[in-house]
Amino acid sequence: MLKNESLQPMIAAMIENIEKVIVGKREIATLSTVALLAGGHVLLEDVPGVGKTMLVRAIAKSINAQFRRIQFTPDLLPSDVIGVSIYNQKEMQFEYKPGPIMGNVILADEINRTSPKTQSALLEAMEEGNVTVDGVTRPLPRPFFVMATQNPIEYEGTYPLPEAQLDRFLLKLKMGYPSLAEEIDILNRMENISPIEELQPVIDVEELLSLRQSVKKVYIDERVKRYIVEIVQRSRSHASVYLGVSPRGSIALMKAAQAYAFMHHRDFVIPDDVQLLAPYVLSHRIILKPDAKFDGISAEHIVAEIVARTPVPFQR
Amino acid sequence: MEQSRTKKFLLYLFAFWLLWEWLMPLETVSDTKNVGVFIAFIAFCFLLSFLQVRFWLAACLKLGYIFYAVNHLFFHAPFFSFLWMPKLLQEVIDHIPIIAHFRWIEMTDVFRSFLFFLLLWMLTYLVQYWLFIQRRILLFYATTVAYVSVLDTFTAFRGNGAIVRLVAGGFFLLSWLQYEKLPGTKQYKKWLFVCTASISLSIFAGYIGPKLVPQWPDPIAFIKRYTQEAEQGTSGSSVKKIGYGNNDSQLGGPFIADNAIVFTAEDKQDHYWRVETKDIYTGKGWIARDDVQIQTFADENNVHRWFEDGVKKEVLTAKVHTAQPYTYLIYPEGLKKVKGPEGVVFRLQVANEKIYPTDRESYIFALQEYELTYEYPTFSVEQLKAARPLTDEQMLKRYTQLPESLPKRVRELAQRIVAGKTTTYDKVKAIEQYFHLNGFVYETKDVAVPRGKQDYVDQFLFETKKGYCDNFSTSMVVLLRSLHIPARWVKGYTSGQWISKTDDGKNVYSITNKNAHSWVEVYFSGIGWVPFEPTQGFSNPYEFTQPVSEVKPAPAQQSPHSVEKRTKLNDVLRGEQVSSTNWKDKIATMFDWRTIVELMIGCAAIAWLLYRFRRKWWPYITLWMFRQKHGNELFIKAYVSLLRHLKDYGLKKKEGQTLRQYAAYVDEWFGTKEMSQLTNLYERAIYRNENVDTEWNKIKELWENLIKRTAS
Repeated sequence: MLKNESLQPMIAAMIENIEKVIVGKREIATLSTVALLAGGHVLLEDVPGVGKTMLVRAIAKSINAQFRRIQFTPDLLPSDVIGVSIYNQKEMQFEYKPGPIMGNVILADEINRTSPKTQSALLEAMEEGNVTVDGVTRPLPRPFFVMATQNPIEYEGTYPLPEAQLDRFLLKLKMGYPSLAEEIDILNRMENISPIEELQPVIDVEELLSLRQSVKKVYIDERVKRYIVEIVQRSRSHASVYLGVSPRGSIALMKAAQAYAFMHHRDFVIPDDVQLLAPYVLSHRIILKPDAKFDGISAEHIVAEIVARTPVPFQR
Repeated sequence: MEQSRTKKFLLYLFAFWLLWEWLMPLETVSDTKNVGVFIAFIAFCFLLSFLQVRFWLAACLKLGYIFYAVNHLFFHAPFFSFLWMPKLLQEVIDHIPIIAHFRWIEMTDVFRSFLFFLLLWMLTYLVQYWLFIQRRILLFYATTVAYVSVLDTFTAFRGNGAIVRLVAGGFFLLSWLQYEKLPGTKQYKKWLFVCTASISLSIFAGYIGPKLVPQWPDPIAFIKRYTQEAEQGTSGSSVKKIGYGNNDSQLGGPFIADNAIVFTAEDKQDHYWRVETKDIYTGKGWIARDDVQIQTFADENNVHRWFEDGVKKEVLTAKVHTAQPYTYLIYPEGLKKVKGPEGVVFRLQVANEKIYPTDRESYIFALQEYELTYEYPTFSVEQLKAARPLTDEQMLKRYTQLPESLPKRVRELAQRIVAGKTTTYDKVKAIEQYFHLNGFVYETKDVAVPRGKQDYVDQFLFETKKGYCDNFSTSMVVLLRSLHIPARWVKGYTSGQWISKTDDGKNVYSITNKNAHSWVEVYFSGIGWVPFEPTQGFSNPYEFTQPVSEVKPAPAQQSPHSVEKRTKLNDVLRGEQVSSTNWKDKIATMFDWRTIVELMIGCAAIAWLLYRFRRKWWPYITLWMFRQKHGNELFIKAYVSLLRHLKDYGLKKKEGQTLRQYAAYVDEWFGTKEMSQLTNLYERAIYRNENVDTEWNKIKELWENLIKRTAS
């Protein structure tokens, strides 16, 4: 995270709130907030038990929003997600039974375990901001923030998300295991009552929506835009990359950078914001060539390399 | 806090030690005594700085120390009586003209010590500045090493211990200062270990390693051979400037003759103008006999004669007009009469034949104009050849005096030169000729001074073979004396430059400092003192008549003009530039190809130096330029120029580095926050398109500080 920059007080309070529950993951908390402010969604890629659910719940509680959880299984149907119309015999008409997606903060657990059909139902909802059941389009509540998780270890019987779908997540984060001291701290906190129960909201949904409006006003200079595009374009011509970042990736990077600048009391984006967010925004949008994968090169490596080589604009 | 105090103390110890290494050799290589007093002074200065005594108090204490030490060393007065104060003040006042006229040699020890204290005072500040502010000591350290090694090589000082100390301590200090400058977290113990290990390893290797014998010839002899002149500079005998001096006890050294006119003479014949003669050769030069016998004559010289009756003489008169009044007479050999102002009596000092004009109470009476009557001799070679050896024991003893220290080879050389010659005259001529034939060179600049026990004549005859009249004439006298031929050394002037002719047929000569000369007189029984001229480029003005039967080219009888010409020719042959009054020539010489090439090389060298050291001066130009500039968006230009200077300094911004990352790096390097502050403002200007002109004026100082830092 950037040094010597204070956070917006509301944001600071929110991150602090999350940190009460999730120990030693300030970076994840901050980046999740970036996605929340930028109106994007987060893909959490990690093994079970590191606190993914806790994180999402903590975010939901902090913004005083409705939290929903969908556990994806192979037999889950799209209607199990977006809801279904049932014939009400008393009323003599079909009645919409909302699915679990009708919430503010959704945890889509193990999203790669379900069939592509169900996956796309969710992702479509994420992209469009509404669901269509039986020809009736129903708007999703605002804000609508999805944190999907996937387990990178067990591939048996999974349906890996296709590139086009991955693209819809603003950020891909990895939580990782806590350190020794952090884990001891976790045990200490869990001894009595889980801290999640005591969490108090710091902002409400309305405030969050107005913050989102402010984020959109953060100034981004031509030079910085050009810098973003240059980084993205370099990903397309990189020798180890099979498929580079799409323009949607450029937009995502810009929006994330705006949110990040806003969080840090700035009404303009600097290249530092772009550099810092690029790995999280771009890595999951790159498909590596098989031989690069074979060489052990990861998408994160490539993004880091591109960022290190792209000249930072600093002159008029 | 405690840590930094210890560190500081250690640094002060190092500072003291470095200066101490400078002072230690002084006792051996110079006439400095009581070095301890000075060492204590630098220790005192550093102690005061370490204790952070206020400047004015420290200055008072140091001055007090200086006064106390000076008083203790020189005046020995009770300190609090303050009796020394007027004395010291007087010293200072007395030295103002001495310093103003660069007469360093006249400085007293008191004042020298006083100045030395002040110098040390300044040096302590300088060393502190290097160690604590600049944090770089390499230059001073290298100078110290050079100083010790030069002293070790060229003087009696043995610097073995000093060199080992300097290598060990100096490298430690250098690496320490470098370590302090490193940014980021520092592993003190690791550094200490690596540093100590590598230094001790290298010292150990140096200690046990085989030592080669000197690969070059002894630098002293080597340098001496090529830079005799420089060597003489250090021996204390400075370049002589005046044509005629009184003290001849230390001959040798370069000689610059000037063209100041000493006197003009109206005369019929050309001859030497004598001033005095000296007859005791010391091995280094000439001194007069300690004999106060004076002979007085009114106008007719009836007290002293130079020629016996048998010599053919012509009585001539001459008028002398000196440029300024002289207390002694300049006269030709054979002087008979002097016509000066009324009432002047002439006193001839028998020991050196110097004639002083005095009044009747024997007060010196400086004369500027007088008329001389003298007997101009013509020597018959036949007569000279027939002269019998001198029998007067006393005279023989006096004029064949030689120092005991005269090397044997001089006597042997004399024997060799005269081998086969029977008559005294032939021997004398053989020796006179010897100087014309055996590779002797007339030289006024590159002339050696005998060092230590070396004999002046021996050095000239066998080693240098380069010199001017003193070398030639002294050598001839010594050679003659070693053959028991009575001879003496005479000083005066040559006949000078012919200027014009008077109406009564006399020649007018102008005699300048350049014409100061020394020559040889040999005593022939029945004839008297006969002058000889061994010096290259000069010829004997006296006439020697040959017997008709002997066909031999007459010794070059040259008019004064040709004497001058010959000298000048010699000058030209030696490559001296005859000063050209023609300005066209001068310009032509200025623009010859060599000058142009030299100029170009010089310009290139200067350009290279300027480029090489641009870091030292360019930042100040930038500062100056931006102080002059006004207008919008100055900050952006200033910031970009700062980036350039930082790059020159060695802190280059990488391509992918953002300004913030770079600023953090720069700030960490300098230990500041200035770059980050500037960068925050610059970000607003560049990524937000904000007009920051007002903020720039507030923050300008930070920018200037950073620019200055890049110059250090």
